[in-house]
Amino acid sequence: MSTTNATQPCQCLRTKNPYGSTPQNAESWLPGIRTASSYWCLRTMGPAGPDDHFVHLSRCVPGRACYEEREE
Amino acid sequence: MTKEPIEDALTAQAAAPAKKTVQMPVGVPGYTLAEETRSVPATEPPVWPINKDLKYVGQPIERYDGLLKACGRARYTADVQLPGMLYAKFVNATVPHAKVVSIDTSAAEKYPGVKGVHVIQHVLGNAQLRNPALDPAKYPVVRYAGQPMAAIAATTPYAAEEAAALVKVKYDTMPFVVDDVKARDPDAPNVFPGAADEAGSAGGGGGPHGVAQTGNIHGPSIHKRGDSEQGFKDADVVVEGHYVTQVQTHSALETHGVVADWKPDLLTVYASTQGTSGVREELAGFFKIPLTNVRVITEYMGGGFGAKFGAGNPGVVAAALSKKTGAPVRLMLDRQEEHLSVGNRPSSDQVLRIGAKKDGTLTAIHLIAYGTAGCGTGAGCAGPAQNLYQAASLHTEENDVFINAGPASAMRAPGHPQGAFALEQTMDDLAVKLNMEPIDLRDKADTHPVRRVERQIVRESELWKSRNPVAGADQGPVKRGIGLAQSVWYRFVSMGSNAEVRIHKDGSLEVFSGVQDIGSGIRTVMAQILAEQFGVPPSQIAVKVGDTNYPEGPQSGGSVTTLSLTPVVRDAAWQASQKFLADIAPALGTTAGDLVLVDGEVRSHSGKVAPISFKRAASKMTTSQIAVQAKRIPDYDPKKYLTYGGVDVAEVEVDTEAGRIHVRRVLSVHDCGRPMNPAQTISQINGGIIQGISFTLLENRLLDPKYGVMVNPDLEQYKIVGSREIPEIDVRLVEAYLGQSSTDASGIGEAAGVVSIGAAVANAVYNATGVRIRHTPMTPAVVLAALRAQGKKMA
Repeated sequence: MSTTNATQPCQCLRTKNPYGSTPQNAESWLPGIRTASSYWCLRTMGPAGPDDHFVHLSRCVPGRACYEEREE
Repeated sequence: MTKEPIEDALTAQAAAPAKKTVQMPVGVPGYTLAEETRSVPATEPPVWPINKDLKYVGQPIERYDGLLKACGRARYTADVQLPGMLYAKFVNATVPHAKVVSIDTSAAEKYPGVKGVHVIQHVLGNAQLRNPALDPAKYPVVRYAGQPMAAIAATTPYAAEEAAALVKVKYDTMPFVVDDVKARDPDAPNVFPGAADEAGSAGGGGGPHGVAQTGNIHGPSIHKRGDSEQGFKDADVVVEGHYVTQVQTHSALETHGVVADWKPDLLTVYASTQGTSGVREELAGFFKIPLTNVRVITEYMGGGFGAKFGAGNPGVVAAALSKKTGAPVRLMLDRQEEHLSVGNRPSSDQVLRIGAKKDGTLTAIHLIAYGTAGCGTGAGCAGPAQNLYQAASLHTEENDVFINAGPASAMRAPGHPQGAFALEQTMDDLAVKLNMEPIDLRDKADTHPVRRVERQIVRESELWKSRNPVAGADQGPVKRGIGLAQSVWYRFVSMGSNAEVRIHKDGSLEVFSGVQDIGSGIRTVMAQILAEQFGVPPSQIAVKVGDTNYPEGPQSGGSVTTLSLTPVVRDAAWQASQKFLADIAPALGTTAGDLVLVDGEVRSHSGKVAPISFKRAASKMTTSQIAVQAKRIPDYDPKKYLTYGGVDVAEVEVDTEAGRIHVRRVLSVHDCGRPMNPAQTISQINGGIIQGISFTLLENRLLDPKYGVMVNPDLEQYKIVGSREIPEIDVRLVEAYLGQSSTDASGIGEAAGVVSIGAAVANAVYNATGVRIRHTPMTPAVVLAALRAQGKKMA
């Protein structure tokens, strides 16, 4: 069964540390780390999503046509 | 049989974690060492003393697998040979920006030896293309020259290469931009369609920090603390600098690649990866198969530096080809592909301003940064400005600039070498303006207790004492100078860290984890931990890593591996030893509480039992093996946000006639919690220093603005330091106990010199010549231009 969480990025968004296993204490450092994070899409294995727009924590959110909800 | 204390504790933990209070060493021995109280789970092992009082941990034990590697017997991914294995070769885009009209593989399919062809198709799913003009989109849009588009599998690598060359791709080319300054122009060709996009507008969900996209600029991502305008008003002195750093590629010895073997019920993948668990998760997700149907193996790994996470195109394409052909498929990238398509360190273009009081108190730090991560994101570099010094106010703006080049990926301390290059030079400029010694300014502005100790070690060093504080004082064309810079990195804990320890009846010991050894030596450290617990030499411990059949290990990125996994290994070893003592106690005529394991012997507190060797004691086990699996528990004081880093000092000679910079000596003073194996830690720091010098002086990805291709995608024209450019490196490890886990280890990979050495070299060049160079790589042409500009200014 899946639940909707508006703040959850798309389940296909990937970076060095997959969301869902964010390192402990990371929140404190995210301002200095998040902007240096490279993202890719599980469906395309590249920096553009299926809709051909770039993937990013700020973009891969509910409402984007290719958004896939994370199952919890 | 009575229950033993450890069993009681384990049972209690299952219900509600029982706690105990312990005293732990915290601080730096010889400087600030003290004891602090921690409340820890009752199942945690006894607190270790500092390194000098341990036998195996903290000692420079030789690498567990050193002989295998030195003799060429370590099996890397490219060494894997499976029966009937095919060799795959990518077909890569030859243009930087295009819609692909057609891909004709018919000639390649007929080539002798070819067994399979895979074309990467556009995955549209429920999505709608952002630019409808590109519809129908059978293939992905090409966004950089070198983008993989198809692959051929053949019986030999030569046949695969020949056949790949026969694939005909018809492009509908589009305007492109590869210059990150020109890409900021509103009239520049857009790398991604759509002139502008507010954060989240594609989905209407809103994005973090409201990061917008306008043309090729994604940003600014703004981070603030206090009122920087007021901070500059409060300043007695303001300094500003403009800094530019180039794109660096990872250039690991081993390229990206996999051997994929698709069987009906199991996909086995040998991968050169920094995360076996991540590769498995992505392959399962991509092919929509259960995790249990994917096994990933990384026996040995030849470097990644952050670029080897996830399955990537090589992983999914090799697996798809294996599925199609029914044969194992090896797909290893060549050096050119490695430069183009699997990551790089983004460039930076930074304007940094710092305000300070006359006594060196920082009132404001203000950074505006642009950088390109190619057709991806991740060019932020404000980490050092945000986290190294405690200015009264802070304002940083970071912008990604899209260009038609391969996407960046994480690279050793992402963003930090770039950021420190600007920050630490500006701090030196500030010291000059305040008429302070640069090390005194840092003492004033940086309150980190361990870096304070590190600066003291630098002050007392012969190298720093030999520094002439007057810049450009040397006579003659070759001028000597010394400079320093500081680094910062963060304590991240990967909770996905698990291990299992087994004691066998013959006295042999095994430890398992899915963690991959990326070359930094986690195998050896795991053996040291068991050696310390059981009192047997590390060489006698069987360490099994790099296989998803074992308990999941951490992915090795962000300097998490040692600090995340070693407490797990110790906890498993400790709990296994307690089970072991409980198991053999009846045979020895005593209780577990009476027994203790010391120096490879089982001894009795009461004296009822004569000491016997661990091996003999194991023969009395009531079962063939005792196995305990442990998982990472949170840090003992998880609210404590910890950073670590170091101070690097460089001595350079600058030939002011030829423009050549020679780094003669480096003093590198670094901390990483408890150094588990100083020899390995020093080796990592040596590597960081060398990689940082290479970035500072030589490496540079060059893109042709007319054709949009990389003109130096090899290791001949893409310059990397050789032995002649490597200085004498003196590493001083600072033991810095934090009281955070049962091993109290931290990481070193990111902070190991690579963050700060570029700025240290630049500050040394200033000290030598009186000329500041704010541009990397500091090639002779750059140095001579800076000297000429300064000469004109003086005239």
